Amino acid sequence: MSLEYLVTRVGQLLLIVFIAVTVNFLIPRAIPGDPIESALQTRIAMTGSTDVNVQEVAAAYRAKFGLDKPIWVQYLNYWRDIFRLDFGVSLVDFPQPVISKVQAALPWTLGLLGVSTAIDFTLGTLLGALAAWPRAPSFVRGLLPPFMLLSAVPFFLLAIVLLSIFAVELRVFPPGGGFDPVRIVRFNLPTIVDILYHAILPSMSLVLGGIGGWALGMRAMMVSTLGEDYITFAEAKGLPARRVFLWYGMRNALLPQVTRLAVALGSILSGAVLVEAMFSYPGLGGLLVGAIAGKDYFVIQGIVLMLIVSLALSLFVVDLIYPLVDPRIRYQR
Amino acid sequence: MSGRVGETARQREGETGLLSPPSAPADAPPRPLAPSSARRLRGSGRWSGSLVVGLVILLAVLLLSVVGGWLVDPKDGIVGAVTPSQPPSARFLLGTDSQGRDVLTMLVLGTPQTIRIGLTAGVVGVAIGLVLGLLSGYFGGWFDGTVRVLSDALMTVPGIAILLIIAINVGHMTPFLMGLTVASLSWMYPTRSIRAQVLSIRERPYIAVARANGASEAEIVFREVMPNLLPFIAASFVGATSGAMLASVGLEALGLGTNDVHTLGTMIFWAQKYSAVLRGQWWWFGPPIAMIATIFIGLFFVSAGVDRFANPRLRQQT
Amino acid sequence: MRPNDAVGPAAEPVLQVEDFAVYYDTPRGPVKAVDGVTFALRAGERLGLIGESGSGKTTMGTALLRLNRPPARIVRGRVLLNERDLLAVPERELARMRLGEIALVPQGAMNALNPVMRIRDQIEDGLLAHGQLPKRELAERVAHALARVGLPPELADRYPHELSGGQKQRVAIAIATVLSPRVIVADEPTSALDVVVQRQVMLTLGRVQEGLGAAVILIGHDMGLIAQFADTVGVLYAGRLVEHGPIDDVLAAPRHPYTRMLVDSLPTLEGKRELRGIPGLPPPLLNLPPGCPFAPRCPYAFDRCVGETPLPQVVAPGQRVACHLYPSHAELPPPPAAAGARLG
Repeated sequence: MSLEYLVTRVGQLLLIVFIAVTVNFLIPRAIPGDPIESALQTRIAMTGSTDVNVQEVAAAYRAKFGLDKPIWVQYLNYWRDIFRLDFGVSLVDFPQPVISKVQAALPWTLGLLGVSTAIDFTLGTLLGALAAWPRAPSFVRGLLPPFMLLSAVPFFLLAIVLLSIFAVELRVFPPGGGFDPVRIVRFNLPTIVDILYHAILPSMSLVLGGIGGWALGMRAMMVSTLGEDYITFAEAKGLPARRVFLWYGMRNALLPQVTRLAVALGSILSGAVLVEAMFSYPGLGGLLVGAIAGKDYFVIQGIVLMLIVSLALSLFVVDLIYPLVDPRIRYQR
Repeated sequence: MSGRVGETARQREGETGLLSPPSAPADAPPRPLAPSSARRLRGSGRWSGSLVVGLVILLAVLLLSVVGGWLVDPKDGIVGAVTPSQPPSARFLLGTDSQGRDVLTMLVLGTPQTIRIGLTAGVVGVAIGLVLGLLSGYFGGWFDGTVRVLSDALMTVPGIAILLIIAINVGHMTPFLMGLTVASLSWMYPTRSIRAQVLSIRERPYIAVARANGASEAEIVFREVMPNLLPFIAASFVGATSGAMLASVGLEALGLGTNDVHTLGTMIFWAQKYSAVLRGQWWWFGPPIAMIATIFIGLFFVSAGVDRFANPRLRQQT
Repeated sequence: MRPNDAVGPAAEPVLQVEDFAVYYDTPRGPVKAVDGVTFALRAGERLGLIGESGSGKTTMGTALLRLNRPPARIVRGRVLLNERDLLAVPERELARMRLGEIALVPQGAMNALNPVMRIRDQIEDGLLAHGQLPKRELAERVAHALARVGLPPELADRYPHELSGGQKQRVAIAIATVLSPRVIVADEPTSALDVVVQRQVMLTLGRVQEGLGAAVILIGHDMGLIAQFADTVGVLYAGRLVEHGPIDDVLAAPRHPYTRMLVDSLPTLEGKRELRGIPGLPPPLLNLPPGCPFAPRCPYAFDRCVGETPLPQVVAPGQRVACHLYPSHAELPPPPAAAGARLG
């Protein structure tokens, strides 16, 4: 892979992170009022807890964030804290640092996101490709409309429906959580099975809602690809139909599909967070619900930043895959 | 494959052939309409089945809210108004929640609020998109570059992250403020779509003719460019409204929604908070989910129908 | 460029096309792109099929190998290759005959090579589809195929986008001829290439074809190119073969009025002359009225031409023409002085 290509992509990702972090910095300060004090006050009003001495904490944070200092200094301090992974302290679980809470949640989110996206991208792409191929069995085309309808419904609503049917009514799957709380968590097969067992319903919510979109896009690409001259020439060589479909058709239609994956990752991540919230899954989403309920301002900020970083990492992975799929990228630029 | 007999015949039939170069996607940019044909659109029979189905669904939802609004008593939607946790019965058609509120009342009152939020954000998003897209596409330069980079970045970032930050800083959330919050992320797609179309229109001969006839840039923008944007504005509007509604319902379901006004998303939040799912109180979370799903499916059909005569997914990214 | 006539092509036909017809199904009715074309091809013969756009020539090129796609539909006819009808054999047999016995050289303007596969793989998969081969022999065949078209073996590891237009066409010829087919169908193989490259590609095609002893059907609209390359020429008009015969005879003394006007329209290096074209446009192939399709533009047309479709008839050994002027005339008379003048 050319060095230039790598540098360009890394540069773009850093730009995204930079813009998002800056937005994260500016908005609370753009809105009138002292965010921290008001957050603390709201928290006390909402939850009625007085385990946190408002004045003390507010004073500590004011000093730390230097809200009385010029905005440039605040900005630089902000970046300094980010690099030190110092996102402050949780108000709900005072004085646990935000970073430790978020760190624990991150692998769950990435795992759920990664596995679900891999499954629904693969299934959806295959379905879409088959739907475009004249030689495919006709029932394939019939599978598209129900999945397309499902994809119109938000992921987390599907999550609730799945939860109520399979976890509550039928009791086939656990109603939430990432693993059995009673179990001692060790890295062994029963733990892994347990984790997978708990992950099935959240994953299904993402997969069922996602297949339709991928299938539709892939079908359009396949139809266009199958009209290309190299398909005709491949058939003129007497190649078996399956080879033409896979290596001449799908392989070429896959390229824009992977691009679409990169673009869609942001919204898939958003959806995953909401799904986790519904399942109390111990990822960033599950953490978020508690943080919102407790008006834990700093944890929410930490989650936001971590989401942006997760996205940047995922995009990076997809970008690394792309040259493998399209040899033209390898040698250009 | 020039000179193919079939292609020539098909073109005479009025279909546009795939004149894009090989390995370009199937959706080549559509030929923009000359101003007079924009007027012809209304009676041109471009109402596809998809569009009609979608509009019917949405109209039914609106009708339900309006008629229902006359039939229910808002006081039944206040905490403690009626017997809590009742399954559906003759008296409470959709049952009651565990805080003593009538579900049907909440549904009927909440649906128009959710729609209102979506429409607010849709209008704001398209308005911003129109202005930015026009200026960006028509005049180019550093402004265009900045808009492009900004919209690209915001489109890539997980929307929930930005929305969380805004929502958490809004002291007292109202439907209007929620609309504005989600509007912050609904302007990018209309901007991109309109910008791409403006770029293509800008090079058309009739623009040069208008300029040669002495029309000012402003006149050109309003009289020649804008009418051709109408289908794209419509398509963007549907998309923006849809996306905004999704975002708002998501935020509300997390607990960042309005406190004192019912919306479909807040219904889901309260149901989650009081473990309605685990307790099998399907009448509480089922109806709002069904209503949201219906609205989205309706919007899905409408956007498929609108897409038919305006393709906003132009791949020319100059 | 043409093979020595003394060592002419063998006598038995290797390909026989009988009453071949391909229609396009449109909402307004069938468009008869190819309407009853009959000819025979001998081993080693180079047949040039010439026609304007709209003559059906490209449709025929792909349809001969049954590569046509809806709405194009093969309506009737037989294409006999070694006694087997290409239009009737089952899929598996067809796949075997493709590339193995009859091969397509795609248009020069086409994007015929898979952008994401190496050249080597694209040559190899054609080979492998027709039988298993050990790895070493595969590599040898690939190198040999490239050498035969004058390309270095290193090219095999490249991707199509790294090659020039001429190189890509030669790769296409290499792929098409890798299994030594008996018939090569070349549909405008040099379109979109510049003149120098055109010559190179045509020379390559000619050399390969001769080496294999294969017959070639060269489809195009460039009379000059065909005149230089072909032994026999077939003139297509409105989906029909209106004249067919040895190239020298047809060029020197064209019998069909359309052929005459085609030949006349060629610019010549000998002396200056006003450029002549053929007035009018080719007819729409939808609902073609009965009678000769060329009648509206033909200066020789008379009443019989309007109502009755002329059938091909033999006017000399190896020469056929579809025109009502024959057999009453021995050759094409000089053009009538006034339009609408009557003859015969």
